[in-house]
This record gives sequence, structure tokens and C-alpha cells, in this order.
Amino acid sequence: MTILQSIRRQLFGKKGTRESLVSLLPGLSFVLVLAGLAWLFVLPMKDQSRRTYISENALLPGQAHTYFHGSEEHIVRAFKEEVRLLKDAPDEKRARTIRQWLSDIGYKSATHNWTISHYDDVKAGVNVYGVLHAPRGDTTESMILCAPWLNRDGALNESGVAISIALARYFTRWSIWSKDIILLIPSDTSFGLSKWVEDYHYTSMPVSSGSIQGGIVLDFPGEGERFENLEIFYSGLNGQLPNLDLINTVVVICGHMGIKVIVHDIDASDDEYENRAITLVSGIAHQALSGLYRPGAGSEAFSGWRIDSVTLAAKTSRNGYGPYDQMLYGRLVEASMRSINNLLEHFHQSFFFYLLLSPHRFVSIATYLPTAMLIGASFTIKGIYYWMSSSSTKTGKTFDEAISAFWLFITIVSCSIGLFSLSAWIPSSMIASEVFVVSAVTPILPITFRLFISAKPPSYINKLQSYVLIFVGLFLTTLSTLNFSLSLMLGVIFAPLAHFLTPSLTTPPKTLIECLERFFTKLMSWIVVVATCPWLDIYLYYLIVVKESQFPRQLSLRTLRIFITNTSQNEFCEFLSGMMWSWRALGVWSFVPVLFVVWLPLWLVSCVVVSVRAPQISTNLRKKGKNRNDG
Amino acid sequence: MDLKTWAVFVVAAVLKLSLNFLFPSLHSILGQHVEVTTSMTSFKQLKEGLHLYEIGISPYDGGVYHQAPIFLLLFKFLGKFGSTTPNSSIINVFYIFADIITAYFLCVISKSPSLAKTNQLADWVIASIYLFNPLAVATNIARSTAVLSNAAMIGSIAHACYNRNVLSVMFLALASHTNIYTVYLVPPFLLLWTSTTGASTASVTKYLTLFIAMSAGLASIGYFMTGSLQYLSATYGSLLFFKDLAPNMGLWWYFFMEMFDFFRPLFTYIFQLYSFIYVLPITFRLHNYPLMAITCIVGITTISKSYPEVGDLGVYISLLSLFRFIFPSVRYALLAALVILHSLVLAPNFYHLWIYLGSGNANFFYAITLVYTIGMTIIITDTLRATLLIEFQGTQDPSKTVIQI
Repeated sequence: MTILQSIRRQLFGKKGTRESLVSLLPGLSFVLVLAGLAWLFVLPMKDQSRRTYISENALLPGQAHTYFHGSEEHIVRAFKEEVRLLKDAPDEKRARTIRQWLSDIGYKSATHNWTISHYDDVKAGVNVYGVLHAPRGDTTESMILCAPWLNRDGALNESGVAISIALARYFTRWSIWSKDIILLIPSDTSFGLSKWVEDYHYTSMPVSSGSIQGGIVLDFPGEGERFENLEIFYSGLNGQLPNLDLINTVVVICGHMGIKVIVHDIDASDDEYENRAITLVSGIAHQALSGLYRPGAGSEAFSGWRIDSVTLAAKTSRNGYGPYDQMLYGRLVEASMRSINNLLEHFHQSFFFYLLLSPHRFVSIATYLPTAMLIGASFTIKGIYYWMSSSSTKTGKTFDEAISAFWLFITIVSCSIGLFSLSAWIPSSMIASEVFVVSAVTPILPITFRLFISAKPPSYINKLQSYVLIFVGLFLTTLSTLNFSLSLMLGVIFAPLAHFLTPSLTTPPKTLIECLERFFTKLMSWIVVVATCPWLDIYLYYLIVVKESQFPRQLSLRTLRIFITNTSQNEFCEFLSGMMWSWRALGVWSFVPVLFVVWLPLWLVSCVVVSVRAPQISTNLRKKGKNRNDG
Repeated sequence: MDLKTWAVFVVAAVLKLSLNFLFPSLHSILGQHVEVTTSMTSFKQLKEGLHLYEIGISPYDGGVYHQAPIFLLLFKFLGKFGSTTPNSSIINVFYIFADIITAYFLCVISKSPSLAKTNQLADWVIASIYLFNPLAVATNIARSTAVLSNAAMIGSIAHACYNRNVLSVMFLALASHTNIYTVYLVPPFLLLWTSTTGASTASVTKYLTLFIAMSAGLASIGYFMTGSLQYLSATYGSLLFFKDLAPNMGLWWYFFMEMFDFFRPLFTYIFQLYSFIYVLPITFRLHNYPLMAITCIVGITTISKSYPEVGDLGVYISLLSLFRFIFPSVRYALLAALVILHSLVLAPNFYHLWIYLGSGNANFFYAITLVYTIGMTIIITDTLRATLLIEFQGTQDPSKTVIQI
């Protein structure tokens, strides 16, 4: 014991071990954030990523010869002509006609009317689909070939629909299918498609098949016959991703056929660090915000149902020229369907958690998870610090403060959840007004806190911070296993709130330097609180990313005013109600509920912390340490 | 019982009623969670057994129902007052009553002569630690029958503290009939019976005989109800030999899933022996603190039993709340709380990844049950250490009197 004590004295001097260790925690927490961020930049390095490989042997991508060419092209052209004629037809007529085509080809076909409504905001459409029962199967498994009528940009998916129907017709002549083929032509890529998937699993449809093993979504807009390159969309909702084997299969087949394949619209060599890094960040943004306010590529509607799917988007040039021809696209789909057909069991072999750096390179979960985990853990550690630094005295008073701080915390969380329920409940047209009212009330909050919450002892403030930080840490670490990207994004946004927030002090400053120091910490706190205000951030996101308006180069009141008001209320309202719809109809819980249940409470607590006056913490801790040693 | 405690009872009842009323599907959602109910306590399977019993088929045919036959009698009797669907009024009232009676018994224990010597938490605090504990609330809303066996167990402890030993024996027999692991409490109960009354060996033998007779009587109910002893293997058999291989919060399922069948008997014995092995040493070591011995054994059983659920942790924490005198000596409360909190949040998450999304696998969920067990172990060792420390200080310092509980 004596040796231990002397070691302790050597290490920590006169301070107690506990106090010394506790005083190390904030530094450790901050280092963890930096380490997490640094790790993000390590990921695109060549040694950290791996080349993709086909893990499931049964897939045999590109091994089968494809025969979708020659006279099939006439059929594609003919269907394209027919599709063009239906361009302006009403939904019902379009669905009836396509259904008739499918019946003529030999598919069991049906239409699927869908409506989703919220008060007077009604969205409706008609999907049409058909099933080819497998000659060598028992209708327990199927694969899906999906060509949305309108693609992600709302353009008519002319070639995509025509090729999919021509392919469906061509598939009937093969006897090799061991899984049923479902041809689905939904009215759009978001609500129509996801409603069909939901109804397929929950209700009994007039025409049905077995469990869907995989899917290919065709996206080839316009009447042109040629395309420049192929972009693969794979992000699912709520951070779900399809099995990496499916993406690899498509990429390998493209390689065989000589098609240039890209991800996240980045058409550059993956030899350079910069390109890999941009792809990585773009992938993270896609995963975090997929399905949030605008229609996705289509494949994400299948996520969450154990259906692995990708969207193959052919990128057409404006003049209609390109190195690849539509039949090649058809053969790519044919070969992909053959590979899925080969599967003996559900996709399981390869990765479900990955980040792509290029179509050929990826980072696996073991490598990238530390990023979000370290940042998540930094909140927990800071929370533990606040807890321990305020509970070293064993008086009943600290306990009471802990309880009353807990009640305030619970109240704040309940209010946020209440606000969320209100936003989900009110009509879409009122959401914008609600947000305006709430954001108008928001600046008054700190003043209210300052007036109505009397000066609190530091242990109270510390306990409050400790609850919210442990809550956020718990949430972010859990989220990182479900939606890594969102966890990382939120962690980065929240980090300043954990580290640059200092409560107000009641003791008057003694020296000028102290006065200045206080002024700057205070300024920092306020900047951090204003910058992390959820409403402000959403509005800025809307302006910069959605509206793509330029941030003013020269800062003046006039340019700022132009920048901020560069939108109409209707457009912004649509953006907000789109976000609510994504939660309501698509079940995207990973942003709007998270915003209200985690971000808002954290931000409100931070408001309380900066606005309520409290004595200094560090001196307090020192005093306690001294008392302890004396005792 | 002061006004505040009654208020807590009323608020808890209103809370549970309103949860069931506002979210009518909550009980089925929670009932599906493997963390909250197991096949040994599931209400859904109870309903199935009840149905078979009512139409005259042996409820133990078909291998679905694994719970004690006495539950069939009980719920058949409740069925006379209304339907026994999980959200019907009679079931609501009955489960809320069971919870409140448990909380009441906990308050009674805290007032018992041996514990009252020490500084105790207020009654309403003890009651709310049990009644508002999310784990116990979830178990109650999921209609797990563990709520009832735990009520019987806490009841037997309460009666033993007040020397009402015959009643105590009855409750203990009932509790161990519905959850066989409660038998492990017999050795510390012997201590409790002797320490409070100073009873002789003869009277202890009397209680023990009574316990065995009561248990045999309860067991024979099953025989008369079903007409065969088949129920023994369906209930105790599947519990002891881990026949229903399904994931739960415990350490068993993954191990037995991975194992070759010919190893099963050996490891079944070892696992069961492991769950028992702590009982006697803890009883002997904590002979000054029979109630603490009971609490410790409840905690250890929560880890090592074949079908554990989070409700057991809720009961264990509520029992711990009776020992306020050890709180200052507890060292790792924050650590244990964080570990348990994380594991309880991650467990349903990983189960979801594994079963519903298919992107995770069994290792995810198993890893988190290990973390949960580590958290439990921290609590148990920490409280045990704190108790022994207090005992040690009591013997060292003559100015402090030994508090015997």
C-alpha cells in the first residue's frame, strides 16, 4: 500500500487520485473528438480501405452469356413509342394499358391504387405490377425489377420503363428462373413505391409472390438511346444499406461490359486521396439524409424489409450521344437478374455496413466505426466529468440538486417530445407557421431562463449538463450502429456544445485579464449556442443545399438580407412538410424525430446553462479537493 | 403507510392504466421483446395454455405452454369476471394490484424490526423505485407472469421479517412453484426464520417440512388438473434442461445454440450448478445480514438463471433500495448504471438489427447480453463489498454497534 501511495504522490502531487483523474476527463473528452475527426481523414487512405470482392460464390456475376440484343431492340423501341404516347395520359389509363401489356406478355398482373392523406394534404397514385412465376421455383422467393414511371428528378423514365417491359417479355422465354420475377412500375420513386412495398408485405394483394430476395431499379430517363455512364444509388432509409455483394455484382458486370460506373456523381479516378475523400463525405451525407425531403432514387423504398436493392441510373447527355447503347443497359440488368437468380440463400455473405470510396474500394465497419464511437464516447465522458465534479461532497444537498436537475431535464425532454407530436399532428400547411412561431419564441428563451430561474449552484448546472450529455452520448453510440453517418454528423454538430460552453459566473472579475477572459468565454458560449440552434441550422441547410443560393462573399447587412430572404414562404413550407411526410409516410425516423427528441433538448439545456448565473466550477472543485485532503 | 405512499400507489396505477389506454398495442410490442418476457413467463403462451385447458385438452400438449398449472386456475378464475385479453379491465386491475402489493410488501420490509434500526429511505421513495422503475413497468405492461411470482417472493420475505413464518412458508412455496429458482432462497430464509425468533432446530425442521409439504401440494394440483405428470417435464423440465432454445438476456442460449448435442447434458448440469454454487457460501458469509443474503442471491440468480428477463433486475434494484446504510460505501454506482443503461438501450437495437433488418447477427445481441451481465456483476460485487466493509467496520470499532439485519 505504501508503494502505491508513493506512486500516487509521484503522479498526482498533493491532489487526491480521484480529483486528479476527474480533472483529466475534459481533456480526454476533447481529445476523443479530435481523434474521431482525425480518423475520418485517415479512412480514405489507401491502406485503410480495401478493394471490393465478391464474397458469395453463388452469384457468379457476368458469367452467363446475355442475349438481350438483336431483334429485341425493335421491341424496346416499340415499347418506348407506346410509353411516349402515355406520357400525358391520366394515371388510371396508364396503369390499365401497362397492365394489359403485362397480361399479354404472360404475366399475372394487377394495379395497385394508393392514397396517403393527412387532413387535406392527399397524395395518391396508381402502381402497376406483374408476376412471372418461376418455371423452376415454388413461388417462395422472388426478385424485383422496378422501373418507376417518374424518376428521382420527376422526369419521365421513358427508356427505363420500355426496357423493363421488353426485358420482362424476354424473360418469359427462359426456363432458368428459380425465383419469381416481379415487374413493378410504381407511379413515383418515393411514396408510391414504398406504399407498394408496405402493402405487399402487410396486405393480401390480388397478385402476389414469395419473399423478395433482391431488386434492381431502372432509371433511364428521356427518349435518347445512348448514355454516358452508369451511376449506382444504394443508400437506404434510416442508414440501411444493401449487401455489398449486390453492388459488387453490378460493378463487376459493368466491368465485363466495359460500362463506366460511378457512385455519388463523382466521375474521377480513385487513385487520388482527394477523390476518395469526396466520395466518402458524399456517401456519408447521402446516408444521413436519404429520403428526407425529396424523392430518392427508388432503391431505398426496399430497405428495412430485408430486400437488397440498387438503382442503376443511366446518365444521359444533353445531345443524346454517349458511348453506351440502351441494349447494353438491358443486358446489364439481365446479367444482374441472372446473378440474383443464382442465389441459394438470402444475401448475407458480404458486408452490410460499409462506406464506399469508389465503386471498387470500400471501408468496412471495423475501420470506420471508431470515428462515430469516439465522438459519441466523448459526450459520455464529459457527462461523467460533470457528474463527478459536482458530487464529491456527500451531503444531502447535492442529492436534492441532482433530483431537481433531473426533473428539469425530464421536463425539457417531454416538452420537446410534445412539440414533435404537435408537429406530426397539425396539417402540413401549418408546419411553416409553427416553425416561425417556435423560432420567434426561441430567442426569448435564454432571457426567460435568466429571469425565472434564480441563480443556481454549480452542482445543479453540472448535474443538468451531465444528464443531457450522457443522454446524447448514449444516443449517438446507439445510433452509430444503425445510421453511422447521421451519428457522425450530429456528433460533429453537438461537439461544441459539450466543450465550449461555460456557465455565467456570479463572482465579479478581479483583474482586467480575468474580465477579458470572461468576456471571450461568454462570447464563445453564445456563438456556439446560436450556431447550433436547430431552426437556424435547418434554414441554412435549406438555403445553401436545397436552394443552392450562394453565401454572400462580402458581408454586409444588405447582402445578408438578400441571402436570407432568397426564398418564398411556400417553397420553404413545402420543404418542411416534405420532412414531416418522410417521417409520416416513409418512416424515416432518423432525422425529424431525432431533431426533436435529442437535438432540441440538448440545445435547450445549453441555453439554460449559458443564461443561468452560477459560481465558477474549477475553484469549487479545487476547494473540495482541499477539504478532502484535510479530512 | 403515509399519505405520500398512497399517492404514489394511485399515481402508479393511473400511469399504467393510461399507458395501456393511450397505447393499446404497447403490451403486444413489449410482449414480443425477448428482453422483457421469456417463454417461461409470456402472457401469449399463457393464453394459449388457458385456451387448451378450457376446451379440455392438456395445456402441456404441443410444447407451447411452460408455466405453472396454478396460473391456469388463477386466470380461469379471473375469466369469470371478464375477458382475459391482455388489455381487458380485469387483467389491468389484477396486474396493477399485483404491482402495488409488491411495493406495499417492500415498504413493509423496510419497516421491519431488523431494518428499522438503520436509516431507511422514505416509504414513498421505496414504493416509487419499484413502481416507476421502467424495467418493472415494462414487465408489468407486457403481462409477464414473473410479476406474480416476484410478488409472492417479496411477500414471503415480508412475512418472514415479522415472524409470520407459516405465511412466509406459504408464499415461498407459491413463489418457487411458479419460478423454481426461488428455492435457492430457502437457506437464507432458514437464517431469517431463526435469527428473528431465535427458533430452535425443531421449529426450523417444522417450517422446512411445511415448505416441502406445501410445494408437494401445489405440485399435485398440476397432476389433478391434467391427469398426468407430463406437466413436470413441460414446466420444470424445460426450465432446468433449457429445452426452449430462444434468445434472452441470459448467458445460456448462445452457448447451447453453438454446442453439439452430446455435450448438452454436461453443460446443463454445469450451468445449473453454477447458478446454485453461490447460494450456500453467501448465506454463510452474510449470516449477520440474512436480508442482504437474500438480495444477493436474487441478483446472482438474475444473471445465472436459464430464462432471465429485465424485470428481475427491476426487483433486484428495488430490494437494494432497502439497504440505505450501504449506499455511502458503494463505489461503482455510476459505472454500473452507465453499463446497464447502455446495454438496455443497445439490446433491443441489436435484436432489431439481427432479427428484423438482417444486417446484424446473433453475435451482436449476445455481446450486449454479456455487457448486461458485466453491469449486473458490478452491482452485485459492489454491494457485497460494501456490506462486508460495514460489517468489518462494525467489528473493528467498538464504539459502533453491529447492526444486525
